[in-house]
Amino acid sequence: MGNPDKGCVVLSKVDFPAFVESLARDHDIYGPVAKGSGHVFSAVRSADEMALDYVTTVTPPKKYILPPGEVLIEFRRKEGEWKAPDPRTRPFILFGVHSCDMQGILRLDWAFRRGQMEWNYFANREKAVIFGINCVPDEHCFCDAVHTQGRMDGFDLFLTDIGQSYCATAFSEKGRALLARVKTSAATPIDLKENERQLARCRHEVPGRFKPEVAELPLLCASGEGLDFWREDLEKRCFACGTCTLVCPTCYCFDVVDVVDLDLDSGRRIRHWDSCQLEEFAEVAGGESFREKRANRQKHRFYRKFRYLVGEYGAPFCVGCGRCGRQCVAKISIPEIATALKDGVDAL
Amino acid sequence: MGMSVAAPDVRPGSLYIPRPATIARAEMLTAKEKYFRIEFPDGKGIRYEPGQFVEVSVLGYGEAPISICSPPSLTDGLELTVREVGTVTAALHRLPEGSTVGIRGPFGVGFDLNFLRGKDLIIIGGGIGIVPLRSLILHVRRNRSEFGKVSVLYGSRSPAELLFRDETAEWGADPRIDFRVTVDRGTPEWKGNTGVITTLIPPLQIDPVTTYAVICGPPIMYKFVILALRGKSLPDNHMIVSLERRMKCGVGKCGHCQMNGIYVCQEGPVFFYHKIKDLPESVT
Repeated sequence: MGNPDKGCVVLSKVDFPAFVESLARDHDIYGPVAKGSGHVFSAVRSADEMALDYVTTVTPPKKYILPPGEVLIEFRRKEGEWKAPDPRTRPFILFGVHSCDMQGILRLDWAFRRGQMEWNYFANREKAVIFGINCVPDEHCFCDAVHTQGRMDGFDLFLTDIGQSYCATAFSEKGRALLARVKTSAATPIDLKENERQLARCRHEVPGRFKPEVAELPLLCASGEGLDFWREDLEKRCFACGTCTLVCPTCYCFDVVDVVDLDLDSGRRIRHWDSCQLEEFAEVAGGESFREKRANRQKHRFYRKFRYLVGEYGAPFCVGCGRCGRQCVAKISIPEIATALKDGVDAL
Repeated sequence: MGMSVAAPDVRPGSLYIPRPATIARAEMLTAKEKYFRIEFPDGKGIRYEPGQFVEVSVLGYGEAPISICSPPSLTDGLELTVREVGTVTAALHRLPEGSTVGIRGPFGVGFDLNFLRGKDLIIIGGGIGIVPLRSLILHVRRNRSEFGKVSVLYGSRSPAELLFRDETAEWGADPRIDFRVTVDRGTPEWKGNTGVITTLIPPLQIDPVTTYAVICGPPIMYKFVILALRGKSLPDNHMIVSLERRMKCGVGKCGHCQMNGIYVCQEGPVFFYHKIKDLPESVT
């Protein structure tokens, strides 16, 4: 974990628009913009398009590295030929990423590097430069419980809004080189104090909402397979719409479909985000379904994040961003499931 | 301090680009199952073990995981037997000989031939489960002296659905293996056994110390076959099962084939039964 105080410099908000403009000359930039009643990550060209004081976005910035519809091969049916698409060549900046979403991207790095490394993912990932920003959580956030709060690992540059200016800390060569494009000044003790104060704002406590320690969850999962909570509660509440996985920064399951153009010759094989919450997900061609019950699909989602992948990578595949709970029609949230599991197992 | 994303292995097309292959021969075996012999234009085959699978591409339709049914001694191509159950398999059935398909793989863990060497084997196939087992059976017949007693039990719903009929006639005539076949429902012309596959197990003489059962069939079959084998004192760690799941990518990424914490496409589809029997999602 980096220390944002070390090498922190001050970037005046007066110079900020010119900074973003200079970055846009040789990068695509994706940042948080206001949309409807919330925010989304979207392509931007200038600083004034961005709303860097956002709470969260509908979908995480993962969409620029693992796109929702990504071409795996381009083919011509009549010729019986296919090839890999040309990789992305232009670097891009994910601007204004919160620690939780950065941690989400790091987990995707682990997953696509494990076993056979996946070129499709890393071709995008290599082109990404990630600028973090401090955040203020809402009642759905639980980064504290999953230990992602305030983490700086993965960022190329981190900005803290200290009022008239930003405290900027570069964590990589790329970050340092880009920061050098703008006029900065040394941080005064007052700047450093304000930097610290702003960063502390994300360190809020949500006592009792997420009861177990994440480290005890793999065992709680093992003991809690048969709890009534799954069958009696989640089975009845979950609509199996798949929103929770769609908005998740660490979900990476996908389906692959061929799409043919109107000439019935040229086409593309495309990877789409998929969801373990949909019944077809675990169906085989003969129609046999291996996860028919919604309760079992919800359990799979939770167990994958807090048990199976923990065994593989040593950390949960949940970063506490709260999107799944925030957007669930049935108000099912990860803290709720974790707490019910803890209470249920304790009562066994 | 920043994390560098150095990616030394990043090469275009490393995982999802199929290799071009040709349908050298195709033949309907039953109303729904078709046999394919696949060859590669560059003449170089792939190395595989019985029980492994490949992803077969039909451009414009997609990919489907298909078990290899040829023995590993077939090195310049491979044989597949495909049931028409979805869009990709239907499209594959329509392709004439000489057509181009794409092949990725082989994937997964097959039957461990080194481990099985010297053991007595009971190979049990239900329905299309006989397809991956054919690879093992042909290997065992070619290398018969490497194995102890060998029984092959094959069950099908009806006589019309029996696969590889010319070959199974040979297996039945081979004195070096004990081949038994049964159908759930016979026809007036059917002179063989009638009844579910578990009815073939009680008459067998099994030495539970030296015998290993290799089982592949529809999900419902495992439970009853395993009970019948336990009835012959065969321990769970002498049972080897091959499981069907939706193996979409074959490389442990897409998540569809996951069975609790296990990616079936990576750690399976072949498992020792005792290793997976306590997984709620193994359905065995």
